Amino acid sequence: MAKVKTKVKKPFIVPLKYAGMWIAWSYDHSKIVASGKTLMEAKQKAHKAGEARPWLDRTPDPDAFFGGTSFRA
Amino acid sequence: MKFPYKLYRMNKGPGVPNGLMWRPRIPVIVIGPMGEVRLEALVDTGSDQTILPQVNTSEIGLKIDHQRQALVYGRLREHEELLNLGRNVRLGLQLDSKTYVWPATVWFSDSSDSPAILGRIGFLEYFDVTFYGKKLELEIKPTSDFPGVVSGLWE
Repeated sequence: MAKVKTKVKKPFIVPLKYAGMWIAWSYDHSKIVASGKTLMEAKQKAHKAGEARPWLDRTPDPDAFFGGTSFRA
Repeated sequence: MKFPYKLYRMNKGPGVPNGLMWRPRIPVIVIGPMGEVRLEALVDTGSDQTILPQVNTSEIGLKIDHQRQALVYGRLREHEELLNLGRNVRLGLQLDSKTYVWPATVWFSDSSDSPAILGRIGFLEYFDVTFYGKKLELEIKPTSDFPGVVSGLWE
């Protein structure tokens, strides 16, 4: 009996070079279309690259583990 | 609807021998009367509040309540962070070809370095969320008394 190969979609890995930066995903989340030091920079670059509706994502620093804190309002 | 965790490369460290970190981040839309901003936000069951980075609130017509501010210590590197309470903020989420929009209590950081966090107030109070550790995905469903508006997919 022939083996049936099933395609497993590999997850997209955000590369280390973007750690600590803002990145802009394409509308369908298939690729990173721009990056910048600030949200606005990444957004403007994405628009220039032709992506009108980017999803903006602040990637954590390369050595940063995320944890909670508290604040008083 | 299920959202796969997002995968980020980072330096190798305790618990991360391969330098790969999975994070439960989902796309959320910050909606103002004059526009919107689309963000990837961490679903954080340990967070009481929903906290977003500094965005150009005036550009999308959002107001900030400068009478309600909070100081945060320790979340950002070498930075004392100020949070401002947003007013007239709505958030949007696209689930299964539908868009869910709801009025939300949201704090905006004074820094664009701040990560976007979806906490209990403003998000988890309106959605049932299940985390699947092995599958590395989370499932989100609106609660039966979801207070917002449901429409077709918002392009």
